[in-house]
Amino acid sequence: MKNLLVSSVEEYSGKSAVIIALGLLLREEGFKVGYFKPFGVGITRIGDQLVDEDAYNTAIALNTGDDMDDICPVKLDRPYEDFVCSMFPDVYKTRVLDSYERISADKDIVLVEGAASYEVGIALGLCDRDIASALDLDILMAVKYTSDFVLDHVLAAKEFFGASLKFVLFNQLAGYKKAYVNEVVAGFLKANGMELLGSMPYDPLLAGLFVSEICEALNGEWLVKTEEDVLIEEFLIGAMSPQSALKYFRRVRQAALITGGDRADLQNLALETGTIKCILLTGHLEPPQTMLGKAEEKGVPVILVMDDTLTTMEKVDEIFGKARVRGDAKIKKIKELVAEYVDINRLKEYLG
Amino acid sequence: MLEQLFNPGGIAVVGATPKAGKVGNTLLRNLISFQNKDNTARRIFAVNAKYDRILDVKCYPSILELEETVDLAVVAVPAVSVPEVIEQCGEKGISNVVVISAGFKEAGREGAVLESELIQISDKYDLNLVGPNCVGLLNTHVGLNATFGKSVPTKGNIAFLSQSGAFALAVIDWSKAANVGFSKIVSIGNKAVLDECDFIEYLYKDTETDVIAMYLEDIRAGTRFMDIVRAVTKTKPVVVMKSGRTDAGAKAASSHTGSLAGSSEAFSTAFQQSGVVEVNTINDLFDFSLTLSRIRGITGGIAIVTNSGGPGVMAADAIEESGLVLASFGRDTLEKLRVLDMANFYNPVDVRGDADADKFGTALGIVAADEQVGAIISILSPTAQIEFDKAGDYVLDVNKKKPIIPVFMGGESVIGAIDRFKLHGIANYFDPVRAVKALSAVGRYSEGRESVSVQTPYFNADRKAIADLVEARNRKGLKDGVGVEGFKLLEAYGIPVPSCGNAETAEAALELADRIGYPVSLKIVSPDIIHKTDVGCVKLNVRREEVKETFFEIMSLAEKYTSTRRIEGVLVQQMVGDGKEVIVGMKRDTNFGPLIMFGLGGIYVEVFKDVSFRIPPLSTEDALEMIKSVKAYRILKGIRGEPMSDIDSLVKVLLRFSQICMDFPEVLEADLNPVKVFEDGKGCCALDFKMTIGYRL
Repeated sequence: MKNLLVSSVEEYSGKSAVIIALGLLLREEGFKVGYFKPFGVGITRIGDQLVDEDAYNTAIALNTGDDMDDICPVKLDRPYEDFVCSMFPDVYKTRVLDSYERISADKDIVLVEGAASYEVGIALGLCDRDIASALDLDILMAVKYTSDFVLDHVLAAKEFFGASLKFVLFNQLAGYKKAYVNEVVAGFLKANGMELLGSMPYDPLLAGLFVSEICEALNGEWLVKTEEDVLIEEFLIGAMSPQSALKYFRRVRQAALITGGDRADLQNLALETGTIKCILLTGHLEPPQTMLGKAEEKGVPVILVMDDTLTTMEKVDEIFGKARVRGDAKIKKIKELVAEYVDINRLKEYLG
Repeated sequence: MLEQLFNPGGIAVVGATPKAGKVGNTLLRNLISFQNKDNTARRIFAVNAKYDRILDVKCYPSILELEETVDLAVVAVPAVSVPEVIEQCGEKGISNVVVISAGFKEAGREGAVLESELIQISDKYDLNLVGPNCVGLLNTHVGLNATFGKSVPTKGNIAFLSQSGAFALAVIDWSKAANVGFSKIVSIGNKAVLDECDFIEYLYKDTETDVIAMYLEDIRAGTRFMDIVRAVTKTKPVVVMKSGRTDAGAKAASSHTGSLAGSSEAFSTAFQQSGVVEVNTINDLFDFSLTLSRIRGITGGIAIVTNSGGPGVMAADAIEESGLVLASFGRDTLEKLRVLDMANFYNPVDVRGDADADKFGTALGIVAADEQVGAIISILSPTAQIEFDKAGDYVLDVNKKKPIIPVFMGGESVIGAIDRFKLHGIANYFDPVRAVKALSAVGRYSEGRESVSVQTPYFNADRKAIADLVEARNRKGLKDGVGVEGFKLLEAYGIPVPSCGNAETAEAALELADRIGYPVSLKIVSPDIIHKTDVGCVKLNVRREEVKETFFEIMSLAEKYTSTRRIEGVLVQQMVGDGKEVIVGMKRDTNFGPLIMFGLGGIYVEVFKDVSFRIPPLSTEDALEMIKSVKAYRILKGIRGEPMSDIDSLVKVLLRFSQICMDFPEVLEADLNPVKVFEDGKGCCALDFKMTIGYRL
């Protein structure tokens, strides 16, 4: 049985999502699945524990039962420069090897997650290539299809990894390029010693943010808080007439409306369309009481923020697209996507 | 169902108080004078735990303690106590409740919760609940004043429903001074249970009401409103002032009542299709209602009889501008008028400034006897010779035979005559133009009533296949059914489309074009690119050797405009011949559902806004009327030697499109733009199609 390292050419390429889905699908087939993230760079405190947020989230989703310190043995808990200068790389490497031994001891498959992108950690000897070499892992490269030039990034990575880069999995692919990737790019990868394992479409649900996350990021005040923490896939700015806004309201599924507190017309319309799942009121302008009553009745959260619309949108842009796969709906969706678009049988065959 | 609400045997005022000036006191005071036909007092009860008697009426601690079950409870207690009172009404078996109290959904979250409780309790006991947040209702014919207004209008045959309580109070107060009679006035408040439709249904059968006037900020159930009003307007005029027509108005209405801003086109179209006479001012609301309360039809032209030339000319202008027609007198009439020595014996008849009331009356009588005359505008200015009272008698006399609108222009000297007109339910106008406008309401009502129709054809279509397609798109989260899928939908409904297919690669485009035959057109398929031509993403007359190169060119231009992820491919389409381009579109309105639009195509459509609207299902007459009512219809008919376009096939496209709108509520917006209409007998063809599919929520 071989284990696999999921790497990426850039941050937020969907490594964790792919690992969660593959892990759960393989487990459903009877495999005992382990998860390992040797070098965590997104550190946060949860309770009294310092954890890599991504690793923590993925470990919870996969529930492998391993100790968090083993799942992510090296955590970037100070500035990277300090880290590079103050410790001996061998210490980390030993820590990684020890933890990996414990994690993999009773597993059929261990899915190893790379750092933010494939070169990260090179100064410490902990980049994805170092890890793959130390643990004898092959590489599955998760690639967000942002433009045709990602092919160059993949080729550069291939040069970096050499033979161990076996598989490529395109993520967030949509539109007419699907046909090109499947018909043209697959052949190109093959000619360069890689295999296209799948190409998953963009799914707005996975990119979505929970209303609570949005409220926290915007330092907002809840005017109407609902029991369910709703997932928001898109943001709309409400500055036009209701009739113009209606067509935009209708084209979304799970959206938040960003508008001024004095735009009762848009707020009431938004509450009726059923597609606006959250209203963000900017400029600290209180809305009419009638609207709040209706929002309560419809179960739509309303958040008041101090910033103006532009600043609010900038803050939203900052956090959007970096959403983690958490919550049942997202996990269910990524499993569906991986099951449909990724050649799991080929992977199993390869893993033995 | 609402009979007892408007004519209750016994009434309880919950929240009655001895404190003068308080709502609970005014309500009780107003109701004490409510008497039976035999002048015996009706059974009125006060409910307030703090008092034994109020205004000499026995007071009960709670409605449950009443010795009898009354027909109506009028509630004016703090909002927070209202649900308990309503529950008690239900337990006590009282079926009609007017909740005057404010502090419900208009007041915020807690209020909205209270209002939901009211709705639940009303459902539980099947209560007729008016309000909350209203000023009550009155019925002049039985002397019921369950409002806290200070006066009661005189009896009349106009019912008035108002979504604004303050406006209702103002009308009650004004009606007395203006001597305008009403049958019923209802302040409908928040419409938690009973809404405008329930009251219209009741007033339809109410023998004391001949005209229903309304002030509305929104309509709760658009389709039900249309169904009910369509039936009502066959016999009773419905005049509606709907505010919130503009963006600013909609915003204000939304803040006021939380009403939803439906499109003004949708409201106007719904009103037009259901025979409603729509007005924009308070003057028009009551001028039209008053006119319609006594005049239902005009058979013939309009005659003007005046003692002053200028106002006569003003009236003549107004008649033509409002779509009415000046009557042409018969020979007999002209002969009789000629001998009267007047400034003009043709229409407008000018009896001259030196005419007295008898001469004016004689002219009126002659004109009224003419069969060509359907109604008369009688204009008088205060000359030394004219006696208004006497002239007024002539007007009242003519009024028995023919509709007449008096325009007695003046101040103090005309007051007596005007008061006498009021006693007969006749409004006098100072402004001849306003008088003509009031009269035009009759024409508008008649037209609306005639256009209320009709049979709608039904076409067989492969609904299952299309439903699957819509469902699949919905499931995948694709919101815009552009490209080939859209054309399949049209084809399944018998709307002609050119051969086409969607290509995601240049190779595929070439294969498709080979199959379709050359030349072809290539168009980008992306929900983000609406105006494809503007960004160079439509290429016409593409030959075989140009297909691949054109594909890449389109993609390259499109990728400058939107994300690759939002480009679905290129539509390869058969080229079609010359014809006129029109647009057929639909937007689903929040109040009335689908609203179909028709107009001449081209890039200037948004400037000229020469479009017509209808709410489907469309009848053949509707479709034809839609086409005929745009100014560009003349172009379709053919101008300067051009052949006429195939109007019949366009009618069929509209009818089939109407059916798509009815069959698929998921389709929220759709546009056939353009539809190319060929010359008569050669059909038409939808060249492009876009739609927005809603999620099943």
